[in-house]
Amino acid sequence: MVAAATLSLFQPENQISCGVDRTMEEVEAFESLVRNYQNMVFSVSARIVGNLGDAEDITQEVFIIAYDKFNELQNSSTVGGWLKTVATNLSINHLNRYRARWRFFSEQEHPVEIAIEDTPKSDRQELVEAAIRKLPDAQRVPLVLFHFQEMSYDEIASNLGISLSKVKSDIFRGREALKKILSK
Amino acid sequence: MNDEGKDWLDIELNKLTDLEAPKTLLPRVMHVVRRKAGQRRLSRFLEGNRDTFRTLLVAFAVVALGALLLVNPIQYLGNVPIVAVPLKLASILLETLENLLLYYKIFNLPILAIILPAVIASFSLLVATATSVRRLAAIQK
Repeated sequence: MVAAATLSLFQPENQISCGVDRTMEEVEAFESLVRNYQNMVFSVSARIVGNLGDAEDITQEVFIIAYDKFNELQNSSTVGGWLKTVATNLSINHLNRYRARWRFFSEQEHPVEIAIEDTPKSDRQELVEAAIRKLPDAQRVPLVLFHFQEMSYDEIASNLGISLSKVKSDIFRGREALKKILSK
Repeated sequence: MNDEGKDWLDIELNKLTDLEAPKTLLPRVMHVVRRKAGQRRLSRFLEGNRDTFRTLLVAFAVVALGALLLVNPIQYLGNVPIVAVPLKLASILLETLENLLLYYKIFNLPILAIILPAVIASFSLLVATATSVRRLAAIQK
């Protein structure tokens, strides 16, 4: 009797192999999601943290979080926006670990001289990207959030935990620094 | 930002396309994902058959208890000096239990003959009820 009751609880074999197939399909679907969004996520991170190596680590972290939530994300139309938000938050968290450095740069009256001579000037896009990456954190982050993430000044202030006026002045300084470099 | 407020810097920034992710990124991500997928597959299998494993464990415990009474392992291990004392104590307890279950009678039946069907019936009822509740809950979802 016990055996009969026990047997009734067993899952049919095809259901178990179906679970294995489902996992394989999930991995394949996830790989295509990574292929589709890796450049976008990497760009968000690279522009915020200003370092390609750190951006690669953050991008990997973003996709691992995405895999844990893949069941919800798979059929969502806002997957791109979700990845962008996670990448932004992780990148800001990454910079917050070096808060002291952030403060140091943000308190400079005149931004440090930015040298980008290692970038081939023939490619204008690369030049602009390199110039953005070399801006001090305190100027680059609000500027990137404003221009590329299309966040409002208020959103940037609340995300970075700084005042509205500081956001405005940092973006202004960042833009001036960029103009100076790019017009050389 | 409206178009009037745009200067040449805005135009430059708007022209920027996504950076190309390093070639090493995808293999790195997929290596971790495949490892996680393996864990997920195993946990899905265990999760899917959780009740089965529980039932088998309880059934095994019942069978082992019955076998313990019938086989009496004390007779094979009783001469080993290190385990002799605790085994002898266990032997006395088992013998007492055996006598109680097999030789003491209620309504002219050994106690074991009354308890065993009751244990099996209640265990089966428990398994059947749990299974029905789970299936009903799944249907309701």
